[in-house]
Amino acid sequence: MNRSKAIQDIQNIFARYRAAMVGDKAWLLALSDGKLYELFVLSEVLKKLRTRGFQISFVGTVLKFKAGPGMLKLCDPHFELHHPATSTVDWRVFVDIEFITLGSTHTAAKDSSRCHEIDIVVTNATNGYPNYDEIALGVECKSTPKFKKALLKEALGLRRELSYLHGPRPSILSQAGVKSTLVNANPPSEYWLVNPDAKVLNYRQSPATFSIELLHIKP
Amino acid sequence: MDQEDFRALIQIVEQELRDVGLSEIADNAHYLIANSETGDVRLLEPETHLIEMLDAFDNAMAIRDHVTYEKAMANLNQVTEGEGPQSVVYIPASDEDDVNEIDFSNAPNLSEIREELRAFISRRNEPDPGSGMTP
Repeated sequence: MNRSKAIQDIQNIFARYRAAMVGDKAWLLALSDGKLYELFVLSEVLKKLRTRGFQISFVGTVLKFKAGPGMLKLCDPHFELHHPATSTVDWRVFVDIEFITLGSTHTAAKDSSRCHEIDIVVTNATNGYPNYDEIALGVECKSTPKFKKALLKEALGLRRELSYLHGPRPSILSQAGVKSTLVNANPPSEYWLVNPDAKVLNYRQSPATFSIELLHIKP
Repeated sequence: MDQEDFRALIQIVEQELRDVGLSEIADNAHYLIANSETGDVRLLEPETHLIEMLDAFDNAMAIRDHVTYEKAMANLNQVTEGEGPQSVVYIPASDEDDVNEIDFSNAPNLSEIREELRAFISRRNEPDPGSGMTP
């Protein structure tokens, strides 16, 4: 391949991309915000939970993603996790939920710092804003095409609002599921940060201390 | 192609990325490497820089591609007992009560463009048939 052929090929690829991306502005914004990526990651998270022994069912007919996060309502479409041994529903999976932070429970905070959003949550709460200790698993879906350290710093802050650093102990979900996962956290929640750039894996080691698991998931 | 060719291609890709609203990918800050002994930071060598930028463009397409929707729905139907979601919608922010929900199944099909991009990346160092020379 020579330079002029390469330039022509690249310009053709971008021209086709521009032609394909003509459409509803709200829809293009949703795609830019990573909502489709969030859907894909949700499906991968459920696959992982299934391998841990949970049976999964869907409540509702249409799964809904919102532009802004909010509180949890049982009437909203969600997934249920059935305990492997008893088949009871102890945990539910919701998207775009805000939780009440650990810090705010110490200061009785009422300002905007009281709640933070998590893209995908597994929780035993059934109404309102779940408390930090009602979150078994939180998943942050960062769809940025290039991973950057600022995303990790954000995750470190969110982890701080979910749990204290603690010696290794079985995670909440592994207490119910088949596969054992140890976390350095109290409450022993799991927290995953997901990105489509493979370089996310270059940042795993230090946050592992705080049981932040960095995952490379690319559709 | 030599390093000068790759530098020229980087400039073109950067401009194209800006034109399609993906200027973040073009940012040089993503393509720096530090010398582990001196701590000095420099840009990746041009060919690697170009490939990483194109990989990032592929990531940007992956999160917008209809095929991603299809894979997600297949996963959801595979893992759920009973009926999975019949469809998935996005509810945009609005100052009105009536909001038009957007069906995820309308995502654009970018899979062929992604294939073309991957083919370009793998073909980049093939001999130029017109020159009779090595790349």
